[in-house]
Amino acid sequence: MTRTLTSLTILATCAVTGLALQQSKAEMVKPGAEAPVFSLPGADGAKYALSDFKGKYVVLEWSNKDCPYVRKHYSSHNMQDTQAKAKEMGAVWLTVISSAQGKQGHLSPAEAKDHYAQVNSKAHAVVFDSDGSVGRAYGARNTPQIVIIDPDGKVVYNGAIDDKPTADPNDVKTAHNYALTGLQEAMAGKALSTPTTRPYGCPVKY
Amino acid sequence: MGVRLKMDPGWHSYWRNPGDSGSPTTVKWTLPEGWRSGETRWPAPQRILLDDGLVSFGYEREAVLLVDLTPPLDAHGTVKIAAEVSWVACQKECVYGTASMNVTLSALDQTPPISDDTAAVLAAKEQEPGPLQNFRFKTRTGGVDIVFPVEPSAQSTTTVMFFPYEATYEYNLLQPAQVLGAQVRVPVPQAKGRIRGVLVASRPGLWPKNATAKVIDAEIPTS
Repeated sequence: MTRTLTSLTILATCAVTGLALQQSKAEMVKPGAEAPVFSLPGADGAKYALSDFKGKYVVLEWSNKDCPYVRKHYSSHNMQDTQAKAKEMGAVWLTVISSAQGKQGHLSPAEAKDHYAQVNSKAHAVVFDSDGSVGRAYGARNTPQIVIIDPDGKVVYNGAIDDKPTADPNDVKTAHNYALTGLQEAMAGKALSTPTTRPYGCPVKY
Repeated sequence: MGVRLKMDPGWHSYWRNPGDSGSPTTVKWTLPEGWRSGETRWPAPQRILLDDGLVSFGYEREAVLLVDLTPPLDAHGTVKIAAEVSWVACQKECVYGTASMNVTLSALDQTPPISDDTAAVLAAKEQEPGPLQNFRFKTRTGGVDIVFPVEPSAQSTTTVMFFPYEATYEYNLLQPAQVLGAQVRVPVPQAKGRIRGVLVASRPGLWPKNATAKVIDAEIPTS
């Protein structure tokens, strides 16, 4: 009798979990939609709110320093170069860490400051989203993932950094950089040729 | 030729379409003059459910990737074949790995003894999915069902799942379907145009010769 009850319970739990898994998937915020607002602590101790950057383009980059796909873009210096170019163009670049405590890529403020300085990050700030609420609001699935927000607070791009979904740093040379193209097109007042792509990389470690 | 990947418990590597994260294992061959390599052929994948509704398609424990190497007609003596293999493997974290492999092949007059690795390659060839026969499409809201008959011996608790080659699907919407009567009806939401992928059964018995996977590549008729 006990055995029957136990297996029934397990079955019921599985069914519920399956359903929950299917439903809880965060939808990627689509281009044209209002960018979800946020206010997140930075590695430098300051607060960074989306509203601080009204009138500017904002780029969000989901990061996890130990994810091989993130390493690909930092070891090849592609991420830092992209950050520097975005900065030259007048955009604000925020590196977002949504890794939960105890998960890969989670860092203390001091560790984050050290690491991103060491890799020569050109981001405006590194911010923490340890409860994952901002990542989920944007539908951030992978590291790296890029979101571009226009000066009116609308999402104009959500997806991969480029079109080579691999972990091989050599592929950066031949890749098409969606983040830069997106910024250039948006700033030129054009509709983006590729407003959304399927992001690739590690799953965000919520 | 086969490339045999052995994953530690809890780790998985990726199929040709990795799903919501990861990337396929790649093999770059360095071959002697006149030799040609075909495309990598992938064993049937399994579905790996991650947090937050993300889905991976890949392999736990072991996978053997197959490729045909074609020697030139005048091949003789001993040749060296090299392969550069790179992969991403994940459990809670993900790692990137590469390996350079070498094998020396000699033209022989007799069949050499079968090693454990050779047996794994032969088994992988034996299990390669063939084309799905006698199927039809049934239109459903927002997609199609793939409907096909199964062997009378099929157990009703066997499930079948569609794994797409193309990255145009929301993978968490692809769910396994059970045998119903003498057929299976596998729902493929968001299917349109050409449908390409593999149908993978949870156990043998649906198809002859203990097959557990079948390839489908067909245009969905416009009604």
